[in-house]
Amino acid sequence: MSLSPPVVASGLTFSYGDGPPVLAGVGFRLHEAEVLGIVGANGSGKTTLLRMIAGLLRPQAGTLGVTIPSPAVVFDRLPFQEALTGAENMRTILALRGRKRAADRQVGAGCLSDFGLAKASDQPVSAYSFGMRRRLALAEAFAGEPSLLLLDEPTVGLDPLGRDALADALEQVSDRGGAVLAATNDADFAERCCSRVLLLHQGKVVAEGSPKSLIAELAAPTIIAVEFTGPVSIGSPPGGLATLDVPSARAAADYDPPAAADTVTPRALEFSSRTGTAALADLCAWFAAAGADISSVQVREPGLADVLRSVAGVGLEAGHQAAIDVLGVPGS
Amino acid sequence: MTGAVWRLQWAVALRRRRLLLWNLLVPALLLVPVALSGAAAVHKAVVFTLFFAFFGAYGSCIPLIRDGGSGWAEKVLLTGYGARPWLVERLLASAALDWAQLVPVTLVLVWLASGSPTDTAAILTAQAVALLFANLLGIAVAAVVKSLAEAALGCAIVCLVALHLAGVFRAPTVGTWAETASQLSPFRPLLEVWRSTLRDGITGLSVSWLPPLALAAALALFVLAAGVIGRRTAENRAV
Repeated sequence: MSLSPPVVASGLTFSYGDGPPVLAGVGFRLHEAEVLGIVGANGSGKTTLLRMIAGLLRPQAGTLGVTIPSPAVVFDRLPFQEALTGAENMRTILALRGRKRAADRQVGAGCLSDFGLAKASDQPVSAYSFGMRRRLALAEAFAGEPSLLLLDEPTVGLDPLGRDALADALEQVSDRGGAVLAATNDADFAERCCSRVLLLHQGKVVAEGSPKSLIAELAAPTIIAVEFTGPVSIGSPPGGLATLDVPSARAAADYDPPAAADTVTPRALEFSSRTGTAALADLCAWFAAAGADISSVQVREPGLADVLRSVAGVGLEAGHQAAIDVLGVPGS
Repeated sequence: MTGAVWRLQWAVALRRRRLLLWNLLVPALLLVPVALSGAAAVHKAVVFTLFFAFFGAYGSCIPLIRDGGSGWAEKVLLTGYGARPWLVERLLASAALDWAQLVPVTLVLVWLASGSPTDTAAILTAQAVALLFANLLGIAVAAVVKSLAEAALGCAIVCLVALHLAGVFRAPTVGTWAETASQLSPFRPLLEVWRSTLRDGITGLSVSWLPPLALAAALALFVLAAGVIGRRTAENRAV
């Protein structure tokens, strides 16, 4: 284990030409055995930050220390030697990294297999689908046991099996002590695979922490979606449901006919509950008393996507500061 | 420098059989009719030299621009391979491939000119020198242009100027800087051996060691600048 973290960034600032700052004072540390997710909406500066860490862009202000030279990277573009097979591409990348022994080739073949490309490895890459290209790029990056891995939107184009393979590979890197920086706007992936998340909004870090802690800090409500077999009339909720946000109850389906929120006759309703599923029994009892016939009830716990929506959706214009206050970002 | 890029260039060239076939056929389709024509020997020599120069320059420039635009160049550099070895190996492989692809048509042209084995050896040697220089020019163009269209234009201009300086189109005035430049040009030996082979009144070879020395100097400069050129090429994302 080295003494200093693989990546230490402080006050990173960057603009393209005379444009507005893409990064405005970004700072963080990436530790060994850590999978750090950089989560943010499109244009929040994630890719620029990754390219800077890879050495392709220089910060215009701030300091950046990367202790591991030549990290393995997968960027948005997936360039390959199209005439060569997947296995030949893999061997080429390993050879360029100076790994030409038979053992290295076996590692490469193993990575191709891990990402479900064992059968396709003898086909030319020109015959690969987009998802297969993504898998090949990931397999190349993970081959050779990298100590530092930079991934830009790694789940784009991946099917569920590919996502599972990626999650397994990330776990292996982390277990081995490697560090991973993954820029993504796939909140599910970040929640599943990242030990820590950096929430980037308009070039600034607006929140940092484990996915669970961010969700808890945001205090996003549980969504309870109720569907009925037909239109029903509901009145005001009984006292036991005072904590229920009725309706914010935004009707997910058609109203019949349109009416005020507390007198609608919807076929489906969504409720925001700040007490989790505790209100579920009272909610069902309320509808039973109103003679409503429930066809299904779905409960959706808040996730990182809700945190992202809160920051990106509420946005700077209207309630950015409020969102930041909720998130409790130090120094914002 | 481990030879990984050299091997890659050869593997890709041999795998792309359609392109390989074109690279073998097109020179023959263009040059054999010229050889069979009643054109003056000096004009034939000019056409052959010009074609080989363009073949080399375009052959190194266009793929490099493509690799910059596709992100492959960036990918190679991000493996830590280094811009200098990448570009030097690429230059050598590209020139060697061009030479190998032009050997068949060269043999046909020499045979049509009733050339001797000595002529053949001289032409193939001069061709190697000229192709290496032309590939060097192509890579230099690739480092400064931003698109395939600019590359095509840039290669044409640079090659024509270099050929002009070599005295390919008009013999330079004796005792001027133009004569010195032509004596140094790596394109010059190719022109002269073709003229000799085509019996253009030249008796014996007048090829000097100066052009290869000039080429060696150009290569040394290239190796020094290859790091910058390589990074510049990899940054070229617009095609």
